Amino acid sequence: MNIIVADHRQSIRQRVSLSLRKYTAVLRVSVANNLAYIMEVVFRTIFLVVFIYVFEQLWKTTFAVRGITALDGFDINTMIWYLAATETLALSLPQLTRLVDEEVRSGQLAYLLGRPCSYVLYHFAQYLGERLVRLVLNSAVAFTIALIFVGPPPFTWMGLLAWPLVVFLAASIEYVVYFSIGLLAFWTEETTPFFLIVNRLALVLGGVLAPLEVLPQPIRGIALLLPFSAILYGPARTLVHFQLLPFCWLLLQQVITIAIGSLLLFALYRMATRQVNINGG
Amino acid sequence: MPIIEVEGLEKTFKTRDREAGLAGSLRSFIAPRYRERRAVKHISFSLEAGEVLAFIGPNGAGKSTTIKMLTGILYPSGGKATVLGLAPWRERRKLAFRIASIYGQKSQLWYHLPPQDTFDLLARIYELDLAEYRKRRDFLIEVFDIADYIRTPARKLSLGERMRCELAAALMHKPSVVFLDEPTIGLDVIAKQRIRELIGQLNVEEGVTIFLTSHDAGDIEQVCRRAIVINHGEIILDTPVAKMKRDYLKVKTVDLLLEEPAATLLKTDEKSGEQRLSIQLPFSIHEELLVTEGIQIMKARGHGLKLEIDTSRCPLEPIIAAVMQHCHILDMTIADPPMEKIIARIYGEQTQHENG
Repeated sequence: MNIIVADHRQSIRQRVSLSLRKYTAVLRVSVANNLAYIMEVVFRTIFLVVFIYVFEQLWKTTFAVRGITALDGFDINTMIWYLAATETLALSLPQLTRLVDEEVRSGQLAYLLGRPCSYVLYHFAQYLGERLVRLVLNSAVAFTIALIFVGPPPFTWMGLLAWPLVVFLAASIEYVVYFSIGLLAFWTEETTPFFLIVNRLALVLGGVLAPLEVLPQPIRGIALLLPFSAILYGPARTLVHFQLLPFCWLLLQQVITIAIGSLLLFALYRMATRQVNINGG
Repeated sequence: MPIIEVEGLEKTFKTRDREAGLAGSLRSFIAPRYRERRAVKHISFSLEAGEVLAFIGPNGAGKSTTIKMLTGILYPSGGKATVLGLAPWRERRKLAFRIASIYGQKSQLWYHLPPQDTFDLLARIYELDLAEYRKRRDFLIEVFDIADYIRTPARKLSLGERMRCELAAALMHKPSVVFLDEPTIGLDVIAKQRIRELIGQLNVEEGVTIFLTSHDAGDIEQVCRRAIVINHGEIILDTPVAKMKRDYLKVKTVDLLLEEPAATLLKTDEKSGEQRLSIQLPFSIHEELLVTEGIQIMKARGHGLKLEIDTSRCPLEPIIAAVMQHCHILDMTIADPPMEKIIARIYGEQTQHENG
């Protein structure tokens, strides 16, 4: 009996290890694929420079006009570093919905469905590879600009250590959301409107331009409860304003969002693959 | 024991009807109307290990739908199928380790990366032992003669080079069955020939079962030993390729571009008033001969001449040799009849058979 259980465990360990190697290989190839056209990615960061410059001027004027040095606990230095952190993340989102939508419509998904791997996890690894390249580049540019404009960051060691974890979880939430929207291509003729609605809501209610603290009530309360705050506001606040309790709350919010989102995604995926209607056949 | 068994397989797609005009669009939005299209209608066949099957038919006949059901990508609406003893749509992942599929119009290579990177990735996806993978990769690189391209980004490869890399990638995990969906589509004559040779070699040397769909009659003639013809989702013919060639692929279209006007090779038949080819065949003792047997003049305009030659009644080589004796050929294309024509003939003969 013990031998059977041990063998079973060994087999599970082997399967997990093989799967891990499989998706790590996809991630590696995806990184290499994105590095192949690195100059295009670099050019995209120009927008980041313009954006941070405009908002730095805007916030400086706001602070000067109102004669204040801080707004809801955010001084000009923290505000600009917060902006650099949210923009780093917001502008690193790959065109995931469009990719899945095109794969469904063109029938390209036939290749991936016919392989001994999960279509959802394969894309997750590919998405992470693309996002990693963009995040590294964006953060290098945004943080350099912020350093030049407003001086050294207000980061603490705890904030710096916690940031990669919450950024990974935020990217996972976005994957679940945008991949699910892409899967709607199985039923709808156009997924872009769904993407635009969710993406704009995430930008407005997710606190991309300013921390949610500056929003009036009850919008602030609602925004804090919605999953969008766990994508941009939460990770950026963890970096510039680390506090243990909000950090734990954020982790819980992110994990719950991913768990519920994944359940919905896999249910949607299951329904979709049962009614695949591939073009060209 | 058959490697593929299909029994009463069916697939029905539901498509939304769109009415024309603004009012029609609004009506479609408020009360959408759906139409059912039976892409595959109750088909049955089996395939033995090592067979090379051509699964042919015109566009929209149901070829790709059948392949996608046999590879587990599509769920059928009815019927049964097993591939290597597995139910494809229920055991897709298990089956994926033992089969490969190549779609001529799609690519599995990473666009910005050299094929080598895709090969390495596939080794991980198919859970191959790395030492064995390297041996296999080197073997396939040699067989497919792709050593010069495997470090070139896929986007910079020609279609023919890319297709050879696609084939090598699909065979990395030593599949027992290979499904090829239009593997030569868009390729030039030389690239097509090379791909056909490689598919044949693969079958002979590795004993791989080949299931090939195409609407290029050349693929079938040169690669396959058995052909199943499908039209409107139904199997209309299941026969050895040798018999099919004899019965339906005997007519070739020869398109010539001549240095002299095409009229110099033609004369009008006094009895029928029709234009005939006037050449001296190499085996003929006559100075000139009005060739009528098995040759039809399809088009003769300026320097261009298009002939339809029934090779069972009139072999190609002597005709071309005789034309060359009369005038200089600037360009020449020999083509098989289009699939639609072959199918029309099959239907014609079946109707005759039923009536007679």
